[in-house]
Amino acid sequence: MGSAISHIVIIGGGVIGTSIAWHLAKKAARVTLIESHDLASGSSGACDGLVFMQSKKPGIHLGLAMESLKRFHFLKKELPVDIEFSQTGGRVIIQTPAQYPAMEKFVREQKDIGLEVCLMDAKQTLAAEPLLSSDIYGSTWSSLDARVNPINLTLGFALGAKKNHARILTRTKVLGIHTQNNRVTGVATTQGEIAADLVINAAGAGAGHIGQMVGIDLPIAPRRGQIVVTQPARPMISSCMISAGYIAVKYDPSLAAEQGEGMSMEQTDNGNLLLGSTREFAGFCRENTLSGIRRIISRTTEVVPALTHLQVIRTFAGLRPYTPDGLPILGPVPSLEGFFMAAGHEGDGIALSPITGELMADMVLGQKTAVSLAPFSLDRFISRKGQAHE
Amino acid sequence: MKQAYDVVIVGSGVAGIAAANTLAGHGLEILVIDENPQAGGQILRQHCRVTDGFWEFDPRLDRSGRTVSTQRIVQSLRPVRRPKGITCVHQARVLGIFPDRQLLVHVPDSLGPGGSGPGHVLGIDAGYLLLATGARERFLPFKGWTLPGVMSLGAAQILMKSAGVLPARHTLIAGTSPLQMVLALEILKNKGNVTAVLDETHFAKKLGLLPLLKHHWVLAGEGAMQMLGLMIRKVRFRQGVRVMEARGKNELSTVVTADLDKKGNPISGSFQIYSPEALAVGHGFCPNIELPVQAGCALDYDADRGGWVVRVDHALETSVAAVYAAGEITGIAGAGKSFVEGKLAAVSILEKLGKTPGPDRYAQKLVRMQKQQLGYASFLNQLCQVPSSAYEAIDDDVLICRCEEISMGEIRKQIAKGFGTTGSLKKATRCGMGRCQGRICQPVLFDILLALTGQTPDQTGSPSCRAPVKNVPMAAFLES
Amino acid sequence: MNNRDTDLRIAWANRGQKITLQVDGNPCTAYEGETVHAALLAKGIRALRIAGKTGELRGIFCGMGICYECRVTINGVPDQLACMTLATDGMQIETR
Repeated sequence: MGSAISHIVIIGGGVIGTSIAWHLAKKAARVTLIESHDLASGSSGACDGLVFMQSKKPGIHLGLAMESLKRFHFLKKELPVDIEFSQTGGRVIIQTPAQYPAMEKFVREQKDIGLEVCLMDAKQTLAAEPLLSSDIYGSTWSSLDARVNPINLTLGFALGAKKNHARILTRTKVLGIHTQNNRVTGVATTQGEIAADLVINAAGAGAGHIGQMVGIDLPIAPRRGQIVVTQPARPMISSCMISAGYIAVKYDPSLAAEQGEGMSMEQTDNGNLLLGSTREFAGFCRENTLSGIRRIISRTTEVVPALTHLQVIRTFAGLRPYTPDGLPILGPVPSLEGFFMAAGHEGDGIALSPITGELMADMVLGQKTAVSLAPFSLDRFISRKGQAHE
Repeated sequence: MKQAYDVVIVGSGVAGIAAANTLAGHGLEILVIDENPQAGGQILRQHCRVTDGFWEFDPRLDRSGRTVSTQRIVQSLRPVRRPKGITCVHQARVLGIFPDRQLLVHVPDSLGPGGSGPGHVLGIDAGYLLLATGARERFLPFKGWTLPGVMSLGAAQILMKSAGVLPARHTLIAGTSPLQMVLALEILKNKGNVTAVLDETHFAKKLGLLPLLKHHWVLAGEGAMQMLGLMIRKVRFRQGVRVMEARGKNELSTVVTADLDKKGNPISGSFQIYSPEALAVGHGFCPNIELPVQAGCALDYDADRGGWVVRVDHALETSVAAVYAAGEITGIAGAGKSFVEGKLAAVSILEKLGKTPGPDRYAQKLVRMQKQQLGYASFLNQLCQVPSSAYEAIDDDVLICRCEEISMGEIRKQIAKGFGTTGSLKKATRCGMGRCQGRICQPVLFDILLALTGQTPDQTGSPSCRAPVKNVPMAAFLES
Repeated sequence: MNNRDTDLRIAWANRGQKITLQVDGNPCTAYEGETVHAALLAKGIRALRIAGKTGELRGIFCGMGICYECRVTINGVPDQLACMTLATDGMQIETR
């Protein structure tokens, strides 16, 4: 099949679309990427840069994330932009006594599958991160967790793709997708018609709109994540952090009541702290809310009280492409030949972008993929149609 | 402060005061909010020292139907008792505007000697919102413009007007702006020294623009009188001269200038060196559009009105329902237009609320007055226009973004890579991502983009802005 | 830094009561109603902070709460705008 493809169109200039474009262009495929606004102007430019392994469900989710992590080291050297990838290590903060046994169980399981994670009590944690509140109960630590600059990563993929002769059309809207005999033939855009035998829908939270153009219902919904940015500050935390809340509940379902949205925290190379995040269903509204900002600030200052002395210089919100099972939709859509999906990563888009790009490139070119894509097929939702949108 | 008001006016400069005057006495709950310690904005700051009262313009000012000059505005301002229903809050900042006209407001704790707390952030709902956020200066960056001792023309003036302190013993005035003359005369009046006034605009260009003044011949006269004033006091006044570099180790010590040819390009070998204590510089004005952008208001680009301005209809309603804009943010044209638009916006809101805002055909009269005032806009903004060749010629080592310390070289590099829109260039360079939210560098960056890429404003796109538009302590968000 | 008293105060300007600020540990005379940035300038203090990357000194630029260049620590709270803050008796100010 690979040799027959003459032109691939990727819809979406976020981290997923640009990664696919870069991987395809490197393999000398003819690629056009279409972005309705600017590169990284959607969720990829309005998120934090956590590349967290501890937060992933063991199994296919973690497997995919680990493969992705390996590739960041290579991308750091390969991409034409400094992606500020830094394996700072990551810490999951235990904030209630009940979370502790649950996280003990979590660490055991992680170790069983060969992931290097250790449990620290409050004293050990404070020794490592002196600015944490003494009210915490401990933490789990993994040296694997990392962070990256999501905007630079997206721009890096895009510039790299361009260097390899991919065409990138920004400020170009998709008006429709042409089909013939149940096969994709091209894309109508505000810049004119583009013939294509293969179209990849990498439109993130907007993937549903693209799906509708060809009559395909996608179980992808926008889920708003708000982020708060502080002034550039002196180094305050040495690693990225998330709260144990939503991991612990997987190991002790009785903790569900306190699950909430959790918190995340990272300090960028520039010194700004990125504090997150909310997870809200609010349609396509990208505005922040006072209550959202308050929640983020109260949760993060609880963990690092010294943050209260900083100033907020900006807030933003991105629409994470949510799927009901928390996994992305990758691969062909059986009902329409030549139409592929690469969306629905929710909050994992940045972390999973390197592997997603590689797998998608290999798949559409008919090459062997490093990881099986079968579990990520859209098919998994089709049997239980109707529940998909919650 | 309450949780909701019928009308919230953001900014208590000329437009804000005029609007509040008109809205008062109709049984409405009105909030006037301003970040400065006193009312008056930039033009009237000296005249509005009392913070507890309320200000009113003599109603005869708008009844005459004549052109309203700044001088007449100042003369007709008077303190009055605060009318019922009006709340004025100062030193509070509107940080953002969320859907349905919810304002995010930071109210500081009073700054006592014992300590200044973080204050608190609250949400306020506005039935109608009137944005009168005014203007700020724009700049053509040069090497050393970040040195202590180099300040804006406005900063030098504010020091004298608000605090009674001279900017320096010897001040060099440069750039191109009607503020230059005003500042020079103010310094002289206060027994300071003006090293020289260097105006980038050639006299010939000024003459060419005079026909634009139409209804405003008085202003041309004022300008001539100012020039005469400088000559009498033997102040060096040179036209067609630009500051090329400010030098100094930790503070300003010398300033290098060059003469400009007719096209506004520096003539080689025409360099001169001055040694003032301070350099005051500015290149006209641009509207404070950050809050309107936050509110989702559509913008238009019009160089004759000062760049990106808020799009309004004849009633001064923006593209967002129940959000109005008045004054400099709809187009830079000075205090007269701000006064008329403040009145007009208030009248429009009153009409929407079913109230009778004034005498018969009052609104139509205000619209006529507004048109007259607009004539001055083209003159003013063209007078201050910096030629695009000046942006092209900025050296690579000149800082453009003062907050994030991003140089012209970096910007050039990214534009060459294809980042040709305001949004993408900001992402690629971090220019405008700092503390000031791009207030100083974004207008510059935009002019650089136009100059270097030859694109139209439609192609480069309008500026974006996220809340909080001003920095705010984290602790202010915590509910006790 | 020159820490001299200058004669920048305009002789006939209306002034409030005389107050004393503590600037970097040194007493500094000011008057009620003056903003912090004006009081510092009158004392001859022009460099207010250090820019993080280039290490350059910065001072008053816009004078109206827009550029964020005049950030100082006031009564222990960092990053206050000197140009937007009125000086009060006993106020502790730290520059740089």
